[in-house]
Amino acid sequence: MRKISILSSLFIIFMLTQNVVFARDFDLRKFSEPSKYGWESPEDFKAARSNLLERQKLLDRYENNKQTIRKNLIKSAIVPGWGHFSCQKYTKGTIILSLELVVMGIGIYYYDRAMTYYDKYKKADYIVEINQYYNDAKTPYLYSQGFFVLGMLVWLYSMYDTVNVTDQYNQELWEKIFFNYKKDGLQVGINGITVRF
Amino acid sequence: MYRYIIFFLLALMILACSLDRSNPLDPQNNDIEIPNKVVINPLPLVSIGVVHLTWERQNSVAVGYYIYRSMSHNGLYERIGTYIPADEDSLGTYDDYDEDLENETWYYYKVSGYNVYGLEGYRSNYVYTNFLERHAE
Repeated sequence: MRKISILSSLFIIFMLTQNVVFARDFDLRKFSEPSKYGWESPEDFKAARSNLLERQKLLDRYENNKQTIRKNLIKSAIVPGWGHFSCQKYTKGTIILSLELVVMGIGIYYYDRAMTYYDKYKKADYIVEINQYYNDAKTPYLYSQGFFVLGMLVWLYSMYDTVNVTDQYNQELWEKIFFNYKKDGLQVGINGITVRF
Repeated sequence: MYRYIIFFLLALMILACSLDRSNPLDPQNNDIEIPNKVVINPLPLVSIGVVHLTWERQNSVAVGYYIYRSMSHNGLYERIGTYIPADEDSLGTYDDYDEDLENETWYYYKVSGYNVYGLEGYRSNYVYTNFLERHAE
């Protein structure tokens, strides 16, 4: 027991010594050197700080107005094209929605026709009518399935394109915010914000 | 990935493209024998006020026969009666006594058999006759 306490004490002393050695190596002046960040004077520091705050504002504005992919995907899953409308892609949204409605409408029309004949087939007791109604139901049923699959493809495409359109919208939004900011005489670049007088 | 989606959709379409033959009388899905097509006597006997139809009862699963009548050979045939034969009958017969039949008018007849489940077999070829009205005595 005594051995353990001696060993642990030695370990703690060793660790403390190490910290002092590392602290000696750490160059505080170099770390806090303002010229490293391009600040030659306190005014430069203030300007950089102001730039940082402006940049933060731009990001806030972007965050508040951007569209989320998840939200738009849910919208497009419920009504194909809704996600496009949210991203202000009205033409594409209208085309997708119309296409979906037309395709599904035709599918429902053929399905209804097929079911009319199929109901007659189920009630028929004459061999000619049994065969006739079954054959009459088969073709529109095939068409209805084809249109439903087409509708599903349009729906899937709508979901897929919603992701692209949302990305594009967010990109354009950022560019718009950035452009407006530039118009006001401020320039945001990779190295920071430049004010032009 | 796209290949799998397309494959899945095509498989779905092929599987979905078949309608069940769910009619219990449909011989294609059930072990039901269709009654033979009836061969009707091509020359119906016509007496005053009645048309006598006869047909041969072939070795068939038919337990009864439906008799149809129309005013044109390819028109709508209306079911006018049923004939349920006795076991010893070799001929099927039906007498059309309908009072609404008009004098000197051509009538067309067809006959079909139905089995124990109620499935009606193919109808016979049509036979036709000129009806003679029964005059009041």
